[in-house]
Amino acid sequence: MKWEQVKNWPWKRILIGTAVLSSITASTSFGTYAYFTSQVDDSTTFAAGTLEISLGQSNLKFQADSDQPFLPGVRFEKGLTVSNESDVPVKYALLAEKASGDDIVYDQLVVEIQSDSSVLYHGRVSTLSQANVIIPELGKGESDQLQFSVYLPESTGNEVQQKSAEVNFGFLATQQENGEYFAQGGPVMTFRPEDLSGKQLMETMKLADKVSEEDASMTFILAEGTYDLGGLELPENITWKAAPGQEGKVVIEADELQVSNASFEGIRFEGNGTGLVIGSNISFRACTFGSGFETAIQTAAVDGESETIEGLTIKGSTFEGAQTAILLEQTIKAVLIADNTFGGGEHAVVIANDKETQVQIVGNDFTKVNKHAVESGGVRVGDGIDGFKEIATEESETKKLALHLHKADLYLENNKYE
Amino acid sequence: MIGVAVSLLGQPATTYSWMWQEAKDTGHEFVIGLLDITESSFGSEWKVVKGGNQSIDLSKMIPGDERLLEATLSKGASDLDFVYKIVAQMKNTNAPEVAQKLEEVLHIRIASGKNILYEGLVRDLHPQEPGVVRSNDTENMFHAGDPNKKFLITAYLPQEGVDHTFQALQGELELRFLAKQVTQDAIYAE
Repeated sequence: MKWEQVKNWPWKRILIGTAVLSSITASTSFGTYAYFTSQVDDSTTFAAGTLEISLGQSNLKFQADSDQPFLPGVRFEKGLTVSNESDVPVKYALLAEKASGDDIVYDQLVVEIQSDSSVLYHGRVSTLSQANVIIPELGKGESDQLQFSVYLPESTGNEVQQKSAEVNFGFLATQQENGEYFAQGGPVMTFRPEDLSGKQLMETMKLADKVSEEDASMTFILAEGTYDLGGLELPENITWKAAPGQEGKVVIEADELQVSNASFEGIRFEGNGTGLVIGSNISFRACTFGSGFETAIQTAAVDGESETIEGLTIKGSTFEGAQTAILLEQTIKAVLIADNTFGGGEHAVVIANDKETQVQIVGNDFTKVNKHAVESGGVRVGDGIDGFKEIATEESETKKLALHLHKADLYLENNKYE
Repeated sequence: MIGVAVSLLGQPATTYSWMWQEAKDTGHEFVIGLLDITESSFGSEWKVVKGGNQSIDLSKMIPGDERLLEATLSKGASDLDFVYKIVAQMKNTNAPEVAQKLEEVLHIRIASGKNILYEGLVRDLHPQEPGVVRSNDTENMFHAGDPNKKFLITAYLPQEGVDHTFQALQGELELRFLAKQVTQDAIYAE
């Protein structure tokens, strides 16, 4: 090879190539023979956070202001503080359960739970077992001061005398991201209208009946649409709820729909004639009853004098103009009709007074009722009625009217008539 | 049905797969006391204070006649304080207007010990009516520790004001003890 030829070689490239080759060799040597090693770990520990709530209390026992005994209308109060000692924000459900005692007392107990003067829940204690009241946020390190006020409605009768009930109140907390129905007492099922019709409806009712026979409860979440349940007898121990955000858009067509031991929330009922025929332990919250009904809610016929229907709560609901919104013509106890709006129709509440009927009517708007707010055997309460009128007293500014009509006990407070 | 079954099986799993904790405030007992005056009694016979016949047969009383009855208000097994009152009413189921007319003149006097609690027309001792507030000294407090209370009830026709139109009118005098719990808004079952 002549120098001239060698001179023209691409030395730069060769040198670089050699350097690269050298460095590769060198680096291989380092990797293989190094004595000193060092390592920096970027490790991630997956440690579960804590979820913990604790209770503080303002007084150990529920008690009335002036140490009064526990009587219908006497509020027993207690403050409770729920503190979030978790690493994360939580949400929690309000719970209550009967520890011991007499059903006749427990089923009639009403609790009002307030936080910062806003009412979180006002209704029967027994309904809280369904964990249907969720407080959506309690931040890390924060506390909620809750005021519990427990009472027997003024309309409660003598049958609770010398009886008692022991109640446990509780809170079930979970991560905020947890599902909507985290604290429900049993399975939660979601339905669309097509899931509850024809053969599928029958199959579901059978399934629900089976669950109910085992004294378990279920929650049915209904998506927007119309559900035709006319003429059916619904299975027991079921809470029927409109899916979140679809309250009022879930329509149940009710034609003498027989229900007992059931709750309805955010449902709209439509139909003619008699809508719902109710037995014991029924709760309607934030429901709407269409104007087509002759009678929207009516007590079921019972066998003989001894049978009693117990427990009806109608709260925060709207009656758009049924001729008679609520017809209580059987012996029925522990009825709470609170914070509802009655539009149109002849009478809002009609009560047989020859039956031992105990009805608490509080905070309703009767202004649009065409005839009378309450009618019971010729005794009428409503706009233009002078005799039976809610009045304030020297001791209390709250307008009240307590009535004992033949056998029926009615208590009215803070209703609007005109 | 598959959809139903899936949601039935699926939901509980997601329902309980989160961290949760329950805090309980237990053992709140709500005990209700007893108010029972059913052991109270009214004497079986009216005693003649003035006049002729031996009963409160109003058709056989003449102006000035008086009849006396003893009554005992018993708290029985009650363990609650309560408020009581005495109410009276003339009754004639066949002819209510006759009873009404008798109430225009029949007087009643109720005494407890040496105190006269009420003296006046029977009709002013009626049970409460809507819009009519009556108050008299027969209404009082009965503390759970108090002994039974005795009352002397005298029914009489005044000397004056009972003319011939009242002759042969007949009615029954109904007397009742009523009791109610001691709370501000409590009412009697009248």
